[in-house]
Amino acid sequence: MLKIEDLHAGVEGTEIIKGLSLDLPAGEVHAIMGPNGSGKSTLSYVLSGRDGYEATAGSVTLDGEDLLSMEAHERAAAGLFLGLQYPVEIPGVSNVNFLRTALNAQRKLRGEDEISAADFLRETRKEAEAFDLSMDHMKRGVNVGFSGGEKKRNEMIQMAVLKPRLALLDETDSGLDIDALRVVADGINRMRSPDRSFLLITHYQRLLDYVKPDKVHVLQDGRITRTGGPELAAELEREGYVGIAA
Amino acid sequence: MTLPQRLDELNLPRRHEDWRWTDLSAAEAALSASPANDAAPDATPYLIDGIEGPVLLFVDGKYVEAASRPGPVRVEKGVAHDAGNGPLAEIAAQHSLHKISLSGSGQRVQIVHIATGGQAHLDLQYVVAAGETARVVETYAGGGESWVNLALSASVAERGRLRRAVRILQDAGAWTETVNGHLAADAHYGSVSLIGAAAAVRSEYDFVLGDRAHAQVDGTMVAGARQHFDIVGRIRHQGVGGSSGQTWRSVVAGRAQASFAGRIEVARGARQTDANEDVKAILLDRTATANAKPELEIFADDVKCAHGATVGELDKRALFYMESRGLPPERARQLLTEAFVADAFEAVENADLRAALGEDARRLLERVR
Repeated sequence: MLKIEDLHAGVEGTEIIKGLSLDLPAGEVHAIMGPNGSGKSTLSYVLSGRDGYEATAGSVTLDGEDLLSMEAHERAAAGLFLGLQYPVEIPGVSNVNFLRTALNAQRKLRGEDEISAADFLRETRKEAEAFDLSMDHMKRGVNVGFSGGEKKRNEMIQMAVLKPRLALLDETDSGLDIDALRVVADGINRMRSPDRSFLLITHYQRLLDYVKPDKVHVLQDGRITRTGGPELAAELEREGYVGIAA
Repeated sequence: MTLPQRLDELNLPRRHEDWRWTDLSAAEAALSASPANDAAPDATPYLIDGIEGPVLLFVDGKYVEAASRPGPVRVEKGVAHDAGNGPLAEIAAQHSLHKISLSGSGQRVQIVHIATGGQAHLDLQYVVAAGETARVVETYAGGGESWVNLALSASVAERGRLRRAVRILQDAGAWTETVNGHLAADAHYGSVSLIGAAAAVRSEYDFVLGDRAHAQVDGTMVAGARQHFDIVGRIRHQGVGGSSGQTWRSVVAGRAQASFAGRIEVARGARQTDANEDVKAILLDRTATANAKPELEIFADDVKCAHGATVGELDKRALFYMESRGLPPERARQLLTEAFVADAFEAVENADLRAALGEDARRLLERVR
């Protein structure tokens, strides 16, 4: 599904991703773990098309389509979802209005009809309940006055309603207490399917205790330095990144 | 005689600080233009859906009784009064005055002004009796080479309430207003202005507040191309326990300019005054200009006066967040700018009016994005 080949990328001329290759087949969950400054967030921004994050060499394809030549919103319509480490507050734009506008914009770009208001509301209500966020939260400005955990759960609701083919979750577990972590993990597990893939970008192992990855990649200094099964995460937790590198 | 000569003749302080951002060239251009003499003026296209009530139609500064439905509102012509301070008000006062008694009107009164060309001076006086509530929506439409010059004196007696909404939708020309408000003890005044369509706008207001009186003057400016808007506000707290708020939001694009200068004066003895000024502007282009100048003059103890002014660009993080969810960049900018200006309509209680202002703002923002 996602194929990254020898990707070089960075910000303002500084190379941060230095020849990264990764193959994420449909239906699999992979985790990328790495120390601070290894390029985890840069990778998520390059993949999602944030301004200022430029790929200088290599290729990234989603289902064979060249991801790097698309605008950010086109990547979303192509099926990419980026769950942010720090979801942004948008005062004055209600959560439901935002989500419905986003969903319909994606559908339009894919040549699909708009979702009916009733279907959308039913779906949103169901997911809000599943991720334990009230409809009052859904009517408020996007993430305005939300706690850190509520913001992350809101990301999960958006993901569940938008139904991406590839979800890129950047440090979704940070700032979550144990209950919220379980809610988020359950949501991811519920959404796992043979035609959907997840790339979990994380610093710690704890999310991986609940969401079992098919593969774990270690990102160090802009490159994947090791790839293994779920046991690699436990090894990292035990020995640290320094131990793994050695 | 040119407008500057006219102003000089009236010994008007054009070089005064309050005039530094004002551009009267569009008003001046209108002096040599003349009205189009529309045969059958009609207020209907400018009325807000869902709002029932009296309708007063003015064309080029003249009351058109035949096309109005005044209901219980009394419109008296030619009653002499003090036009209050301000050079433009003095010019307007040389034309005929319309005293509009809003007391007992009950419903929201819609006043529509259509400009067809040339200068149109409108000298209005709103009178609200003690304990009464009056609501007015003013819509300024038309355009062409016109200058609409409004002098409004609003007096609200004790415990009275006046709500005023102003939509400046005329598609060209100049629009100026000088508002002098007198709020007696426990009186309330609230206004919201939407400024977006004319080439040049100057809104000058001066409110004098008695004991426990409250004035809320809010608005939004949407300026693009070479539009030139400025607000010169003055709120004078003269009684004990008065309060005031001013919330202004501007979105400025192209080579346009939007300015706000707001002075809050707290007189000796006006204890427990609570005044707030909140001014924010977003620049969509590097060539656009926003000015903000808050001023506080406090001669009393035990008062709360706060002011905040920011000028910035659209939040890039928010834009990316929205795009990453699938919104095209122009749609993301639209949602952000609409949400930004909607702050100024928050105090509007009537849903139909709030929706109409939102719709007006949306159309205006579409033109400048």
